Amino acid sequence: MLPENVSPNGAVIHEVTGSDSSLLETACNLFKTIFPSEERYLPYLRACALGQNRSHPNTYDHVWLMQQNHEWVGIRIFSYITTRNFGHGAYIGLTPDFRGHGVGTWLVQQTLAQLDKDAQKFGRDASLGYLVEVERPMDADNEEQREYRRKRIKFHRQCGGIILPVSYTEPVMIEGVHYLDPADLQGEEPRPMHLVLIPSKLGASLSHLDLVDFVYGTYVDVYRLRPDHEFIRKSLSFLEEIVYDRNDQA
Amino acid sequence: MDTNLLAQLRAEWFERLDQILSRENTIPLSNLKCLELCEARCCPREGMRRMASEKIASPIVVLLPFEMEYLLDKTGANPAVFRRWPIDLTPDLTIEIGILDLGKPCPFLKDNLMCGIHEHNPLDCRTFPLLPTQNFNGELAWELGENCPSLHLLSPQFSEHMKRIWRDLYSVLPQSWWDLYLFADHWTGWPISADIDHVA
Repeated sequence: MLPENVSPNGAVIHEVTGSDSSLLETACNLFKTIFPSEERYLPYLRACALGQNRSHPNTYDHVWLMQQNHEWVGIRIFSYITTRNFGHGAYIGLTPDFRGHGVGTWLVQQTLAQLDKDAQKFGRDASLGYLVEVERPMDADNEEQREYRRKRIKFHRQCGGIILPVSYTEPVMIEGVHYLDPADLQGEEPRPMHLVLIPSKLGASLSHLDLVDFVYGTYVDVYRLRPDHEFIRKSLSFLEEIVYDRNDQA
Repeated sequence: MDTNLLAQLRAEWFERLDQILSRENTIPLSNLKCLELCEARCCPREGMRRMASEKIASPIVVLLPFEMEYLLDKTGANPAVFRRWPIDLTPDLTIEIGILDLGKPCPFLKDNLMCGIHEHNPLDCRTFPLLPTQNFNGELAWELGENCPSLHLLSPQFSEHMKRIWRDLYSVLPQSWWDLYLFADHWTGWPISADIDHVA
């Protein structure tokens, strides 16, 4: 059961579950429309529709479709990290006519509510929220792109987002997935990003956010990088003494 | 890394900080009853981790770009007293921002809770209980440190003076510095060994 599956302006969330879901092809087609440059990641969408997948052993995945007036208008892909207590937001996208009406904000709220339910499913009281990777304005190729990225950050901040001030590089793909061949992603490169926490009520109430937990949760549990991977060392180099202490205990 | 650019930035910030401090003589009185009422709630110091949250105003002091270097230059302090947090100014240029936190408490706070470097103290300290922030539109905005014991006495003239300093700085403060500064509200400092219990 979804948290509150009808938006204030009447859009309905449908969860896409299972490889035989009648909505799976609809989700793939909408994904291609909204994220045309990401088509190579369609196998990821299909994998997430399974909920639990052997290539994503530490996450409980969701694929949502939004429908309004018999039209498919949005897609959301996110995961609860079962080994931590927060989620990872992979994609949120709406068709152009549906943007700017508060639906994205509502969808973020529904994501947080779902993650709370997931946390309870995995034996916790509530989730801390979720992390999302957002392109940095400083890396933009031109002013138009820079402005677009600023707007993305503004959207996340309006949703309560907190930019985690660590160096973060988004890996091209989860390591070792069975459904994608590295050759399928040829030409893709890791990219510098902002790592942004969208906190839940619980997350927003904390006086101390654990950066190490967030960084390891994203890199190790979602992307399945080795704990000594250069991206992790770079992210946490300024906490070096502690990070190495932690690795020594692992 | 462009050492010429770094040197230029450093020189520019030293000049700005000189200018801010040269206004010291004309800063209106804050009217805060620091000596009578203050318990150094905004100064990171030994023992603060065990204090109740209402007794703490700010366990973190975030310095401006190159303010750490400026303080080192002016006070002769040991560089090891500061935490250093890297921020990217551009994709190819990273600088370190000085921070004082509960793991490295303020080395300038004296036993009588007075500041040992009042003449050069950081702008973050100097501005308290005014708290600069950045609104969703990327504009400078203000909050108040509600648990400052003499907040109700704060002089409007002092407030306006400090706000003017920040307005003057705003256009030269990098966004990555604001990201760090805003995050510091959600961070009590470097982890301590006792917190280490959830390794990858």
